[in-house]
Amino acid sequence: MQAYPITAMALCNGMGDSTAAVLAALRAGRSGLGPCPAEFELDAVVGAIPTPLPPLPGFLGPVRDTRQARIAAVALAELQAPLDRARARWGADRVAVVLGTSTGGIEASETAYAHAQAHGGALPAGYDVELSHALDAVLHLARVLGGGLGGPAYVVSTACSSSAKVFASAQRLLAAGLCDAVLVGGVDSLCRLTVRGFAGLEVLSSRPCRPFSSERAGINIGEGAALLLVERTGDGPARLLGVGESSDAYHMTSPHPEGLGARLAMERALRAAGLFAADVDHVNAHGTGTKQNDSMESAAIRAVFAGAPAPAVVATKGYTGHMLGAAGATEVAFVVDAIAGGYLPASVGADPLDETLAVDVVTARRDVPTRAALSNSFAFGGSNCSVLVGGPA
Amino acid sequence: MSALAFTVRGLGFWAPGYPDLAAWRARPDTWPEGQAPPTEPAAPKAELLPPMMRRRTSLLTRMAAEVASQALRDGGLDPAAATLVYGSVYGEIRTTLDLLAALLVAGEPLSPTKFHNSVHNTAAGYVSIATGNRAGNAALSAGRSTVAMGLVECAALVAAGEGDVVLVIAEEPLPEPLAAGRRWDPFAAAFALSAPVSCDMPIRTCRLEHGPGDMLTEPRPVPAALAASPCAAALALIDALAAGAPARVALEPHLAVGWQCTLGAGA
Repeated sequence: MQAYPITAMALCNGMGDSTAAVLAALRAGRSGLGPCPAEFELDAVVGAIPTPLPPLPGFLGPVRDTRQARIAAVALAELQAPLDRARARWGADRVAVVLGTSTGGIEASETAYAHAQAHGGALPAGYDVELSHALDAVLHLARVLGGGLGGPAYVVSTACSSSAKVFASAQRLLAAGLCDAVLVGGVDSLCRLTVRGFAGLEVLSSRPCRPFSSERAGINIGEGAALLLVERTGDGPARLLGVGESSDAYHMTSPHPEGLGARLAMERALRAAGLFAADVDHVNAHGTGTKQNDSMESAAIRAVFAGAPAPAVVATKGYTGHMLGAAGATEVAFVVDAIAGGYLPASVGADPLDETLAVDVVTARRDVPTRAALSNSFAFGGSNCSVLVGGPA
Repeated sequence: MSALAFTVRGLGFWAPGYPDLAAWRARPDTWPEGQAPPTEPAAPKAELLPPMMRRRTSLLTRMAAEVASQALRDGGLDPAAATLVYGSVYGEIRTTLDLLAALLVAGEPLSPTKFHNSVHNTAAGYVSIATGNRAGNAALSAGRSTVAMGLVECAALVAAGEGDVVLVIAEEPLPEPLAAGRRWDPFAAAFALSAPVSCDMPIRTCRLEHGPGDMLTEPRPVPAALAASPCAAALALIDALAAGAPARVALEPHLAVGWQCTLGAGA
């Protein structure tokens, strides 16, 4: 598949409410994890956006003012100028929107359902399942705040691989000539359903997560948005080279123990780009902080890179927590910054390493260039995706 | 405008009272006074899923598995190799509502099964496990444009040379209190697609286009409870494909300018 430039990006998450704040923390090795809000009644650590989220502007018509919408709006505001430029250059109907989310507006539905139970079935004022809860509500917001984007617009929702898979859709839409630019990314908001759901699966840690460390004790949930602009041509710090997608066909929540699906996803990404493992300098791992993931993902990395120099492995969920539907795009953006800045961020929490994994995990920041990097995301349902990003042409 | 071509190799359908495409096609266009459309069977067999697995699944996942297996069989596609794309507006909304109720019980852990069964790609996961399919799959949502965007994603997959692709559309009724009076019946439809080749029956060759909603073919009437579904565009499309005549089907009938599918477009 043809490579396309990534021309702009915007981030907000537990590390900060702006791209500058998030990337400064990443470069400095400063985690954005903190205690779980008291109302969740759980002894857990989360990656919550640290500042209050401004209410939505009034001109958004039917779009409802949910936490999910506010998070998306923060990132969209930062992309105003690049989106204006893309619209002017390609035409509004040639700019597509493909976003990943797993929560949608569930946080609003939690409040609405509790209200209905306490008020004889009546929903609170302002709640509407179509405009507050639905996965696609964020599309209306993106199209309006993007200045009226008129190309194809849809949400990919495959749990924790959602906003990695959007890059595959974007690359195909561009290759098929269906658009000339794609606003891609992911948005998820912290809610009780996911935090308590993962607690029910007994994978939640009460301390900051430590992917690839012998001290690991599970995952933390995070929230935030990562939005990127991929265009047919243009100048940018990095290029989308190829994406590999696969299914484990094994279990709904447990990954294939040898990482078969993870390996297939990485190999397919390399094949899509026409590259070899030896062309890849680092892997941004899925690295959730569970023993199951560490063990299968390192086995998959070792298998893909057998016969090639071992890649540096970076795990960044110690900064953000697991942002679920927003994790994939966030980590692609981290790879873009690593390429642009000529560094590899420290995998916070990874030291002391689990030496049995036999992969080269970056425990302290390294100032080295990256030619190309894979960013892995794995999800419920055995859904795997690996996004291959390289430097400018 | 942009246009993409593909051939429809197989179809699948399920709704209460219409266990397959033949039953759906045989429906009358109008119902005599005092006679209502059938409602039985009320659940699909979904024999693609092993019984132990099927027992844990929702109506949505069973409908999706049922129509996916029908379309794969109808098109002679390899269930372990095709790429499946699932489109639904509200996905596993019934299971999600059960979790919202459980959250109100303080200190009660959420059911791990219900939790992983609430994700939008639940059917995708179960079907891939049941068929041993290691291709990528996707689960999409785009409100009332879900059918149109599902076809856009599938057509782009076909154009990228990803082989056979199956679009599975499935929608459950919205439960109260979230629905606030919105009502529709469940249904699912599947479309097995691949790249067109010159020996294809021209009538099964389709072109996806974006444009104004003139020159559209009048769709066959459908029961009101199904016409209310946000995925109702799939009903018009499957009716037109089953009828086997040239047609232009609106995939976004709620928009003045939107995506359409032209049938009998030639290769």
